Amino acid sequence: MMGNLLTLIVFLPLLGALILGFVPRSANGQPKAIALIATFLPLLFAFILYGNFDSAQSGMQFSESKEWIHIAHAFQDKELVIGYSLGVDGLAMPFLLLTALVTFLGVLATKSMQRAKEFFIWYLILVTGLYGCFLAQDLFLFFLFLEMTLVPMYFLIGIWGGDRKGQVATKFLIYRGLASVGILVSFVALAFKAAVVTGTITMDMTSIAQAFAKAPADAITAGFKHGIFLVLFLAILIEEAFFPFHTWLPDTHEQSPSTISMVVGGVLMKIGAYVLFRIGVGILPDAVKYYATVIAVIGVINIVYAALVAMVQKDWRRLLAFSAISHMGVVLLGVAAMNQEGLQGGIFMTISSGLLSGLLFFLIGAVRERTGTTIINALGGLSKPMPVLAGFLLAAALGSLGLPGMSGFISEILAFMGGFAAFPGLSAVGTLGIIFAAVYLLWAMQRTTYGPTTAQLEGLSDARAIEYVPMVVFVALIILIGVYPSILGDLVNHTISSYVTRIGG
Amino acid sequence: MLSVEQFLTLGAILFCIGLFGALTKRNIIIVLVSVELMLTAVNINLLTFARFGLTPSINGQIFTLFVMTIAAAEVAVGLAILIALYRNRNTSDVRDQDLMKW
Amino acid sequence: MVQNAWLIPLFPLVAYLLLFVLGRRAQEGIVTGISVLAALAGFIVSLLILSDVNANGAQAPYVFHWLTVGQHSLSMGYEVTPLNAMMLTVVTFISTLVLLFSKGYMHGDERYSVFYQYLNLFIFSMLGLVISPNLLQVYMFWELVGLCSFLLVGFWYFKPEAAAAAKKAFIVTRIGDVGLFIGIVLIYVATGTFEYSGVFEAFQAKKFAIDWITPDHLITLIGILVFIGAIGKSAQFPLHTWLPDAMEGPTPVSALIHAATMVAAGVYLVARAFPIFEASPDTLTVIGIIGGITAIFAALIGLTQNDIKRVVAYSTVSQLGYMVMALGVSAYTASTFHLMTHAFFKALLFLASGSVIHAIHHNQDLRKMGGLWKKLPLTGWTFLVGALALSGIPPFAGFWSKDEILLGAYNSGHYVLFTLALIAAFCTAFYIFRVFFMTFTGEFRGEKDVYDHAHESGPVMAIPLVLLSIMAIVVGFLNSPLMNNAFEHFLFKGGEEIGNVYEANWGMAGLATLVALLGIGLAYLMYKKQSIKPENLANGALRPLYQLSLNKFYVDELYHYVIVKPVVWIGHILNFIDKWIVDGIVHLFGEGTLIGSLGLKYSQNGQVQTYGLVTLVGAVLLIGFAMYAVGGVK
Repeated sequence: MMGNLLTLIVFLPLLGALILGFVPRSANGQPKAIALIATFLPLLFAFILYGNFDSAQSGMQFSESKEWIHIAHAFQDKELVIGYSLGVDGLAMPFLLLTALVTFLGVLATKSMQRAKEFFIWYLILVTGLYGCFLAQDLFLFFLFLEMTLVPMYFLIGIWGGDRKGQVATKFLIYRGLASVGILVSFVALAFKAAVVTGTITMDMTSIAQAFAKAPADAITAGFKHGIFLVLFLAILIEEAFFPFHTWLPDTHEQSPSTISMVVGGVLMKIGAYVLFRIGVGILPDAVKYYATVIAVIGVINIVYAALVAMVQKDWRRLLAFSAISHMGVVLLGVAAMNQEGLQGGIFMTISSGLLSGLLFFLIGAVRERTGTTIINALGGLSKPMPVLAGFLLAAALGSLGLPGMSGFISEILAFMGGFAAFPGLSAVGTLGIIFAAVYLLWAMQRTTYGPTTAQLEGLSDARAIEYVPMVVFVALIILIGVYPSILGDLVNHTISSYVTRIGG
Repeated sequence: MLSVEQFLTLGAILFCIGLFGALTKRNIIIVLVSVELMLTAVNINLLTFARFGLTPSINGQIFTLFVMTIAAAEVAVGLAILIALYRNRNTSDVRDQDLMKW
Repeated sequence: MVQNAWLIPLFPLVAYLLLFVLGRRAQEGIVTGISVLAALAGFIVSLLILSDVNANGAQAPYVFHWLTVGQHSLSMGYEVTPLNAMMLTVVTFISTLVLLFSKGYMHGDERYSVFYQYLNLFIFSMLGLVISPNLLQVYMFWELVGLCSFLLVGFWYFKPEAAAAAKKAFIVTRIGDVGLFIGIVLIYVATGTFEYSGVFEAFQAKKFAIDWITPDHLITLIGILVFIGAIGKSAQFPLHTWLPDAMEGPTPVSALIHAATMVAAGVYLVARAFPIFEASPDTLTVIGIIGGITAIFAALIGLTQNDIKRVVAYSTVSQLGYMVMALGVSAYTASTFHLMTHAFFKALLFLASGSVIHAIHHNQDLRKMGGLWKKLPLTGWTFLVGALALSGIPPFAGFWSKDEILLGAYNSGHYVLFTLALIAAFCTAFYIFRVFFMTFTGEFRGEKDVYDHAHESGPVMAIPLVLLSIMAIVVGFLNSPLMNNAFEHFLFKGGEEIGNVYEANWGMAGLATLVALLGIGLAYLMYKKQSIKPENLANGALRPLYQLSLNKFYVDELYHYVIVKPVVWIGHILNFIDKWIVDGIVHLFGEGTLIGSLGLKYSQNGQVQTYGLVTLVGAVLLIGFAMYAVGGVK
């Protein structure tokens, strides 16, 4: 029964897009209904998988594997095997659930708009790409899905975006295209080098990881690993919007429709972190360890720099973008520590940041729909006309600034527990981010909801019934992880342990 | 008996004349004629090698026939375009035919 | 009974959830009923636990697994020691009264129910903090009480000052919290655990998993970092600035959070984790100095403030300084005892001030008060009790505890600290009686209309005042020679003694009382008899000093120009760099490509013959190169 669930999860959204193609352009409401179904079913299946997931195991589960491309004498008499293989392990599971949730709630949060049919077609193609990225067990397949997210995003920003949509869509495309190049280069290098050990050129992640783990030092030299990792890391920096390659993210958030902001902040920009964990830590742990100091320094620079820049932003969406960059800096710090606490904290932070970004961008979208602006200084006193939205905004801001009892805190402290063990001085600088986060988030939150209510903001409507769904679900999950982190910790614990034992740290 | 160099020299001279004409003449008809000259030069070379080449065979002669056929077709199309252009722009000067510039 | 200690924080949590579900339109009576009942239930359980602990001493903590991190397992749970049994009782007692008092004070507010929600959430967090058996849990609740403080200070969100004060309270305490954060993370890295017992053992053995610093220095470092957390939360110098501003919140909040409970959390933490600090004499010295500076600094500012709540707030800061200083000189018992007595009489003072403020239409300016004794006799009497207790006049509660602190400072040999504390005691007596005389005696200086309508508000506000007054009178005897130092024996029940304990010294008691009486006398002369005109002093020779005190030594301004402004400027500069340099380089590539192609496009002139010529030249060059490379050209 579990046999093909992963394939279903990945391709149901695409099927939905296909069906949407046959819906007449004039149909009202139908596109959204179809998109809802096409994202809800994967959500359901994802939770079924989660229910059947055995977290005591560190390997892949629910695997599906078929040989896809086979070339007998591809290169120097070695055969080339590319598989269609999907699977979930403790690392992929949280990302799968996150994708399922955010993409479904994203559809739910979408307001009626021009050309809804095309919007949802692109959206569903994007969703398939996202699922594929987290579930693919083959580097080639992963790359394919990664590219699959690019084109829909270009159109989603370019058609439904704000006043600079064309420029920003191109910027997005070029940036992430560049990242793809780095990823492709490192993938090919990985596959060909692993072939030296295994004899066949395979793109399968597990066999490459094993080949790299077992290979004698002269077959795969340390220098080679460091080289590949540098290329990969550079790509991740772009993909994940780290300073100094981050400028596409604030622009993208500022110009995207709020649904797309949710998906970008919640899932899309987490792909980079996932690659860092899966390929960086999973296949090239020595290289990560070798460059640990560099990674930690970049992480801390991001934490502090992005927080300082966030402090002076005028637009909520740009502020949130920089806030997310600052949070992801913590992930880098945790990864650089290369110990159990740090890695676990890194994954926690990635998931937590995804949930919080999803919630925050939803709320800002709701505020924007009512007030017509996201400029912080143009808002004020929203607690009066919309106490519920203001309350959730408060909760989201608090979660984001790392209030205990919510997911941000446990992520932060775990990452710093790892960080302080490895880089005490750098980590101490990084804690500045905790203070700055409180400063900019509270300022923006208060500026929006506190103070006297201006005349034109009075009489605005509070949250509608349908809007409660995303808000409550997000907040419930954020609090659940904060209060009972084992729900996430148990999932990832074994996978991380297997990584950590590999590096002997 | 004429030597292979003489044939090739003839081909080269014809080709150069054709090239010179194609690059310098202002009248499109002359340009077309020059192109034909170059094709003829190529034909001479093909025939020469079919007779004196390392592996003499009939291939060169066949190719010459191909070239002549295609040259005929090309001239037909070329002249048709030329007439269309002349009708539209009232000139047959190559320098005025720059619709494709930036 | 101790195993049921988890019930205590559960009651207010349930109350919070109930109120949350009932929504903001719930009836005031029901809201208050639920809240007070929950707090009362908590108080009763606390009393039972208190008697259990009194009989059996401290017991091992109850913990459950929370999160696995590799080989480490983090746990949560609860524990009861004499110290936190005392805290539980005090917190639940004062909470009950404050919840009751709020019914009168907040009557008619459109967010009445929300106010009670927040209060219940706060009580839950505070109790959770107190019964935490490990530092991680302490930190979590530590932040949660900070959140509740933020919410309650900014309760009147539409007032910009309230919003600003709330933000300031949260951010300034957060600066301290980061110190605590680093401290506990370092503790974890060094010892592999957050549990008090495990940490204490490791600190005794001085065996740490950190090698970049010597164990002794590490102990000092961690001690100071954890103490920074206490500095923030307990409003010690130099992070004291948030507490006076926090008076923008409703007065019951000030009484509960900013006098009796949350601000005492810093002192509680230092007391609870005392072995960490005790392990390093340097840390203790720092603690003592910070406490001493805070005590005198805040007392000096308190002398001249014109807002009734601000004066009381500065006295809170000053008294917290006392407690911290006491810990610094290892007068452990004295400090925790003062923590308890202070909770009662300071809550009393705040509630009495609240009663005054409520009676005269939410005016807090002392210059517009006066002669209220006739109108508010009960409030007047209770305020007087609180003032006497704060000044340290026997036999009121403050006398016994403050006396012990002075004694501890003197006997420890820190004579400078002792002198500072003595001067602070004088100032304290002076400023609190300045408030008393300006409020209750003389002529009313505000609008006559307001004065005519001033009256005592019903029993919900009176009962808490009376009960707290009784406590402020009797609670001091607990640790007096008259009761054979019962509190001290209770505190060390079933465990070893911590810190230094001294025999009562009647000479010291006499000195302390004398100093307090002098302060009261001066206040009497200046504000009742008016034989020394305060205005003459303020505008005369003492003008610079007066201005310094009135403007709180310009600390806020200093922070504004030295920290806040520069940080914002750095933000602006970085934003500029981000926009024009980092993104600028990116755009440079884009623009460069555009400009380059703009130039290159002119080479496409549409002349077929030009293209042909270029092709020819290219072909010749290529062939030439090929022949040269192959070697055909000699």
